[in-house]
Amino acid sequence: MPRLPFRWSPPALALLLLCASGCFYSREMAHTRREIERRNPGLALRRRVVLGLGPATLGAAGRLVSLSRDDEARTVRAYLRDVRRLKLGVYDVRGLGGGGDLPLRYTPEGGRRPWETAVKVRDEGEAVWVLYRERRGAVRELMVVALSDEELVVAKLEGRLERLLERAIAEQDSLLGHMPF
Amino acid sequence: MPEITPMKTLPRLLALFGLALCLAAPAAAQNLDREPGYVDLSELESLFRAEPKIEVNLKGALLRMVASASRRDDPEFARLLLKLKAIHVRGYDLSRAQADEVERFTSGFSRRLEGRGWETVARVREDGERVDMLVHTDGETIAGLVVLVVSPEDDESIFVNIVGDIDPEEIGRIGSKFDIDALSGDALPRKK
Repeated sequence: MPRLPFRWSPPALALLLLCASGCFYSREMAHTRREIERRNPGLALRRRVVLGLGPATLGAAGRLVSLSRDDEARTVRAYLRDVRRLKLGVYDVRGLGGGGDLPLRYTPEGGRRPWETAVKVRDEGEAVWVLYRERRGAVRELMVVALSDEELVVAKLEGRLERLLERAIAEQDSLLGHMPF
Repeated sequence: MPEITPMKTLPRLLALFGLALCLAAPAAAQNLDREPGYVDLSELESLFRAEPKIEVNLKGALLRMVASASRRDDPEFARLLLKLKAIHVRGYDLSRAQADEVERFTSGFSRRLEGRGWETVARVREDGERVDMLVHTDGETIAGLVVLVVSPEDDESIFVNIVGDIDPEEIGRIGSKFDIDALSGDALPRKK
């Protein structure tokens, strides 16, 4: 087997993996984008960034982040530790008209296990949808869809998300603390 | 006939027990609609001809996580949450033109629940706002709570269903923790 004429240092390899994953096409993200466009007539989405990070890249990212002594970096690493896969899509929004309540209608791809809606909030100029999937009595997948006048952000996380969510909820003080009930 | 020995049977039984535990949690989550305190709020969408402005569904693993996250700061609240099976909230915009129709629907909805064994424990009409609170009891305990709020002054309608073993004295705590004003009052009966 031919050998590579140079050696990859671990940080360079991690950086390459991170950069390579930026040129990522996600069928799931494409479906989400098409479905949101189909369900919201007049809305046009243009891809700005689509990222997919798997266990190897997330591990590398965690190690890179741990090189920093910054407190925030440590928090990020703690969050990343339990995430096995992360997909992120950011799209420019056109044709929404601007202002007022945003109509967010979206049916996520079901697969074998359906997505459950945890929280859905529409407010002036913003709509957020938090969906999750359970496996063996634990939350294993989480999807956050956030739509504003300017952009749509879709983030999907897979992994052992209990600790991550518990931390996020505890830091928020109240899960629904700022909701206009 | 195969030989049955404790050494062979015990690991199989343990494996079966483990499998049953794994399957039990999702099955319990799927059977929420069979709980006596559960109320299907999906028909509200056809009434308002729109998706809710606010929708919250806390159940199963997610509800346990909220409980777990609250354990350090508020252990009593965490214990209370662990006894619940689900919290559902729907909030809709309410236009003046819709107010009468929604009030008629709410009256009919309350009557239908009463016909299914629910009991109205509070009915408040004040400054144009209407609040109906119903409970479903299962023996000595409350198995479900429904709060219906129609508030034309605030241009909103809120519908809440809490499923599980509910201590009426703790309802206000749920209301304040989740910022659900409709639950913050003390209209519920005290435990005997």
